[in-house]
Amino acid sequence: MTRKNLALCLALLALVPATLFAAPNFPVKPVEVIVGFAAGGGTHLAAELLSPEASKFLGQPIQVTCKPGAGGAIGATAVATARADGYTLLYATMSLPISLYMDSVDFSENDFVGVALASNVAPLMAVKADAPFSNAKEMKAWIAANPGKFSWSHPGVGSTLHVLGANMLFAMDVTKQVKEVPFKGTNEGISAVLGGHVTAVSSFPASILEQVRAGKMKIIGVSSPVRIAELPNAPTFIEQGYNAILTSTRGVFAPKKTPKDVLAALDVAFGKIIQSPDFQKRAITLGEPAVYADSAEFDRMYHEQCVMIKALLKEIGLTK
Amino acid sequence: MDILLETALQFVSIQVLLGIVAGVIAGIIGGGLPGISPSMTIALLLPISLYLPTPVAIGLMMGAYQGAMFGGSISAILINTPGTASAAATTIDGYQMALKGQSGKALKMALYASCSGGVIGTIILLAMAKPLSTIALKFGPPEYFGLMLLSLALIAGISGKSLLKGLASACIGLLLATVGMDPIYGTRRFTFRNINLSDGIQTLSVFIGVFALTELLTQLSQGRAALYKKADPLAVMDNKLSFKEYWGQRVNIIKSSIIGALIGVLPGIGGSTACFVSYAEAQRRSKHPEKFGTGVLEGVAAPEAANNAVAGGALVPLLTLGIPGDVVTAILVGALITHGIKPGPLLFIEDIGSVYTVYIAMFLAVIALLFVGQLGIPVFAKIVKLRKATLLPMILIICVVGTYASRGNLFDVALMILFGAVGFTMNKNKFPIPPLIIAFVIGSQLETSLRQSLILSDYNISIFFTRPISLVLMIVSVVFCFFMVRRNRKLANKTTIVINDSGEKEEA
Amino acid sequence: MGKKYADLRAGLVLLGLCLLAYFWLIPAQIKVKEDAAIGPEFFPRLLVICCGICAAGVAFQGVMGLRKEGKLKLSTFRNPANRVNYKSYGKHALLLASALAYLFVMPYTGFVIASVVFLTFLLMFFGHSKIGWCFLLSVIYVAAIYFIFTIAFKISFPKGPLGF
Repeated sequence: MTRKNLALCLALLALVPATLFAAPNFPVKPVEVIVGFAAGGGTHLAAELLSPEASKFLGQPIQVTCKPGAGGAIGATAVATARADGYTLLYATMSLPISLYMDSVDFSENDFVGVALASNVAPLMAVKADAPFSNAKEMKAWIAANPGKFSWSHPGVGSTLHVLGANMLFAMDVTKQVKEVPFKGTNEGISAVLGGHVTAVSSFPASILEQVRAGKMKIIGVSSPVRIAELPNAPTFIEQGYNAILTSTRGVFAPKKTPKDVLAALDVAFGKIIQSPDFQKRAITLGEPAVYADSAEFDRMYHEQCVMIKALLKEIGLTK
Repeated sequence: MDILLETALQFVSIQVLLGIVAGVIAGIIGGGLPGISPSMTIALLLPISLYLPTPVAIGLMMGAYQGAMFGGSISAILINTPGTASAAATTIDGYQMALKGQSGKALKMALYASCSGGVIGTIILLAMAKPLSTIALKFGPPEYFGLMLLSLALIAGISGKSLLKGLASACIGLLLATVGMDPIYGTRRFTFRNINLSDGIQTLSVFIGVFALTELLTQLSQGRAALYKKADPLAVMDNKLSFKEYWGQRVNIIKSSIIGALIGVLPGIGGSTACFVSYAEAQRRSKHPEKFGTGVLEGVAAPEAANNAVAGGALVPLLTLGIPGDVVTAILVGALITHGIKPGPLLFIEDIGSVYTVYIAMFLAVIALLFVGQLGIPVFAKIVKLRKATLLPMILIICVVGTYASRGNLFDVALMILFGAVGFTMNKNKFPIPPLIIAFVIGSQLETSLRQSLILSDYNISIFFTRPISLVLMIVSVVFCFFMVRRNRKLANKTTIVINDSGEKEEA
Repeated sequence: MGKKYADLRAGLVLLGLCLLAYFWLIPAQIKVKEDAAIGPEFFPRLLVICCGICAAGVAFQGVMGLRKEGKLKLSTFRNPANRVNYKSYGKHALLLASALAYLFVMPYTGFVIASVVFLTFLLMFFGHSKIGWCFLLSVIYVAAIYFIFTIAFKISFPKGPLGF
């Protein structure tokens, strides 16, 4: 071999270790994010918040697909059974751990790994403005004095608001004295409260804000560790002495078997997307708080939630 | 007054008017394609609307809303496939008219009825928003149940000759509605461990299966040779709609629009219920009810007027209370919020300009619909000229795609095929299909309201009779039922003698 | 065939289905809630009973009608003209079966390929005879549908090995 050729070979050989440690070729085509809820709904809109920045930080656009049904379980099943190559992700809420234990589903806790936390909303219990009680203690006293009269609405058995609402009432120890009335959605529940047909509704802040501002409804308590920014005057349950601090998280998940380097790329990209000022601005207009947790942290939160929900559902009597 | 003028002037701009027209076109296409629901069309326009100035964005959405409500009737009339759930009732008489060569006439009636319904719906919205929302709030579970019962009672009228068969169909429809999760306890019912059935049978699977696929199967009986025949170019096509014919429908249109708007006002009930209630009510009022189902103008005018009026009605709770009246207005909330409009009880006081924007946009959307629709109808009507052998397979593909599109789920398509077989079997045995459809549509609300009411009253039935609105609805239901059963008996006793397949005479 | 006879048959079949539903399907599919006054099985049971009564009524009407026509005798039941001609529905069964096969194959071959093949088959089935023309029309039509739905309406179809 001539000296020039040898030099060329050596140079090429030197590149080999470089390619071994080079960044993976991901993504090369659009990434599909599956949402397990109906198009146009709150979860879908929250997932769409991720789209505009995707090309910039991920290198490829995100395609949000809605596969509604079974409280998010159909979408979750689709991702659990998809190829674990990083091109199919799930945008899920706390309904994911809930469906694991309240439902018979075809996936298990360990089919998913958390990629990023995008949103964290605090549920609350609200009543009509002219209700004869204004805080949790008064409500409890009224329930005791008027047995069988208190009714509350939630958007369906197994929904996040159902479980979290039941949790609030459990913390107040009034579960056996209240009537639970499921409605098709939060809006129907709010109309029922405004019309005086049902006493209270378990809801997220976004749906109630305008009613409270107009003085038509008042908030008994918020389930959160601290007061929330959108409703600074609404007391939390914990500050009133009742242990209901659970909030509903929303975030991106990937199938468990996704390769580590692909996961790392997704972790970095979503971190940039969610923490970008544009995303945060858009989130706030939709009434979403601006939060973020990375893959390791969110995955930890997810597993903690699974354990906690399993015990909670048993404790408040929603499962045996 | 100044604000009204100021807002109106905002609409005098090419950009806004173009936006409205674009919305109408998008709506007609989305509505016309089976499986693309009005809410999906508007959800797709939502990201685009975010970057547009407010009047243009709202004009776009309103145009799409009204356009979609008319668009659904296009495929309903031409290919017996409701393009939207709200056009299901239009299919019944609309397609029959098309078969008689009157597709242009049916389409024109649908268009004019839709526009009239849109206008009346907007007027009701303008004039009575506040009082209507107060009344709407008084509707709790017992009142919803009363309303659903009333809708069921109307079924007695659309059962055709055999009341028993109609009732059986209705029972089957109600049973189909129970598939899925029990509304109170969440228990799975009839899901055969299949996760795709957890939310019940999708409306589209039933509608498209029972209308389009059944018709396809029926046409198949004609044989390959008949289907391959070119459409007779000399066949008289009655595509004109005279002013007299339209004017003859004015009472029907006005009453149906009012029904549609009122139903739209109630949160949770929307176009699919409104179109059937108005259809059944038009049949009840009609001087020749037995002609419904054979292709009469009333059968097209009533549901089309109603479903466009629903839009006006659904905006009432949205603008007065901030609570959306149906699925489409729910998406509208997101659009409004991103433009800085906060729908809620304070909207009229703080931001009346935005309220006027919505009113004017609706009104202009209806006018735009009239023009765009007129241009489109001659084009659409040509579809029937295709050979059946070409048209029918293409329809089948559209049905598959449409049913798949709503949930991205092939199981729904399989169910659609099943319902095609079911509809075909029912037709062969002369079991009427409209009662099944209307029962299916209202079934889940009927059962849910009943059980919600019983929970609230601790299982005391008197709750339905001690509340004034509920009591009135119950009484009206019973009265309607009685009169319609009586009329049905009179009809059934008019037997005719026909020659059956074996050549013998028998009663029909 | 005789209409009254058809009514009788339809009524009996439906009645049979209702009995099947009441005694087997409902208990198999719905878990009864013991402590509920009106549980999940209440409404379905009630509906099946009503449907059963209507079905029995229809069958009864059929019997009465046959009696009026003087046809309530064994020869009516034996008359081949009154039997369901299953053979005449062969085309329909084939259509439905092929549609189900189409759905089954779609996740493996992708929407476009499955649809082009199915549509070509359908066009021939419904009366066309030039297979080349049918294939061409299928390709154009399916492509148009694919692009309209994926681009304008952002629906994602099942993807096959070719990516569409």
